[in-house]
Amino acid sequence: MFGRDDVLCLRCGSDALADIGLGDRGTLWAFTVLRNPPPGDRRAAAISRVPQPLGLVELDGMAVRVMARIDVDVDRLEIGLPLRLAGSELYVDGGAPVVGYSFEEA
Amino acid sequence: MSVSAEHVVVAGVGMHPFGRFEGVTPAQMGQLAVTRALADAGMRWADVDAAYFASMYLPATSGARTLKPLGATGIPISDVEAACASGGVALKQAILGLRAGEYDCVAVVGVEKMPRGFMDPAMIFEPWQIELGLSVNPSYWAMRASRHMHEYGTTETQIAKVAVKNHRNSVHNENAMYRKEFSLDEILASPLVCDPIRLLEICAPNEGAAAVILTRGDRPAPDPRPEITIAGCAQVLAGFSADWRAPMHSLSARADDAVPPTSKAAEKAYAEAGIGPDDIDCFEVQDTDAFSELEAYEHLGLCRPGEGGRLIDEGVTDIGGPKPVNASGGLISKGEPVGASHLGQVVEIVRQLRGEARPRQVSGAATGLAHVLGAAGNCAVTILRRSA
Repeated sequence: MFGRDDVLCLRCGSDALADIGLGDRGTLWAFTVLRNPPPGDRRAAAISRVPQPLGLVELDGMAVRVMARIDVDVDRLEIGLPLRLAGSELYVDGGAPVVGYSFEEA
Repeated sequence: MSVSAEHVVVAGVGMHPFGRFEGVTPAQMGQLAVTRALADAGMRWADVDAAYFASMYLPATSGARTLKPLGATGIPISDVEAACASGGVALKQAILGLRAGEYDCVAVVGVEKMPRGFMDPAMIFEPWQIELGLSVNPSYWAMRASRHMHEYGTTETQIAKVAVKNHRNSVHNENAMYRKEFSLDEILASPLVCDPIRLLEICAPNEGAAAVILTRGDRPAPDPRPEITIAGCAQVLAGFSADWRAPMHSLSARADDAVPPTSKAAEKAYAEAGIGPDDIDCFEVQDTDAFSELEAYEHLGLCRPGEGGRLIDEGVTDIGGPKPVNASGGLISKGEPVGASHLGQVVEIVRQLRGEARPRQVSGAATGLAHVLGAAGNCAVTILRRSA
C-alpha cells in the first residue's frame, strides 16, 4: 500500500505483491485543523500557514483511507465532502519548490 | 485464588512525581522510584533477581545506568521500549519471567525525561510524513473525535467534561504535574490545538518515574497488608489502524479492519483474569486527550460504542460513580512521561486497592484496570486484584 514498505502480504504472508494504482477521488472521512505550526525548521516549513486542515480521505471504490493535507477552507470542512487529489507546494528549498500531495474540494 | 507459580504479587510500588524537574537526572528519578518501591515492599535491592526498565526517550543502557548504582548485584537489567505502552510491555516481561520460574523477585521501572511541546516526530514518523506536516501527534486523536461526533452525536461539551473531571481529581494527587480545577467554561475557552481538541483537554509529555516490585506468589514476603496480585496483563500491536487512533508507520490503511487495539488487549486481559469490565472497580486509562478517554470507555467495554458521552454526562466515571476512571487525574493532569506512565497507573491502582488513596479513594475498590495505547498501535492492559 502507498506509504508502506511491506515485504509480504500482511494477511496471508504471500510474497506475490503487486502495485495497484489508487484512485484520485474520495470523500472526507474525518478531519482536524492544526492551529499551531509544528515546532522545528522542517515541520514549520511544511505547515507554514495555520489553520491547516488535515483529514482521512476514503478513496472511492476502494477500502482504503489515506491521511492527507486537506486544502479546503476551514468553514467548508464537513465529513462526506467530495475531494480530489492535488499537489501543493510545501516550501521552497534552495530556490526549488518542494511539492507534496494533498486533497482539494472536487 | 490458589497460590501457584502463576500467581504474581505486587510487593511494593513507588514513584517519583510526574512534572518538570530541572537539574534532576533520569537516573535520579528512577532511583527514587525504585528505593521507594523497595521500602514499600520491605525489601532491599539485593533481593531483586532481574529488572526491566521502560523508557522511550532515554539513551542506550539507561536501565543499567539507573539501577546499577543501587548495587552491583550482577542481575540482568533489560531496557524495553514500546512507545506509550513501554511500561506495560516491561511489566509483561517481568510477569513472564516470574511465571517461568526464572526469577523470584523482579523490579519494573519506568523513567522518562521529555522536552516540552509536541512529541519529537522523528521518534515515530518517517521523514516524508514529517515533511508533509502529518506528524503532529494530537491530530490523530482529533480525527477520531471528529468521526465519533459525526457518527454518534458526541459533543464538544461531553469531551470537555472529561477534562473537568480529571483536573478535579488531580487536586488530590501529590504526584500530578497540574493540580488545578477548571470549570467547563474554562476548558471550552482554552485554545484549539487540533480541532476539536483544546489545550486543557490534552496531556503534556513530561518527566517522572514509577516502579513496581513483583514477586512469585508461592514465595511470599511477610506483609500484613492485603495481597495485590496481577490478575491479567496483555500486550497487543494493532495490525492495521484504519481509523488512525494512534500514529502509525504508514500513510494508508484498509478501511475494513478497524478492531481497536484497546479492545483486543482488554479481551485478552479479561480472559486471563476470568472477569469482565462489570467486575472492575476502578480504571486508569490513556487520556492523552479528553476524547481518547471517552473512546476508551467504549473499547474497554464500559459501555456500547457511541455511549462514551452519555457515561460522562451521567457521572458514571466520577470517583463516586459506579465506574470511576482516572481517579488519579489521568495523564491530562499528571502529564505523560511515556516510559513511566503505565507503571504510574499501576501504582495508582495498587494504592486504590490497598485503600491508601485518601481523598481520591474509590470506596471498596478490590479490582482495577490500567490501560495504555500509543504509536504503531502498541497497547497494554493490566488488571490487578486484591485478595479477600
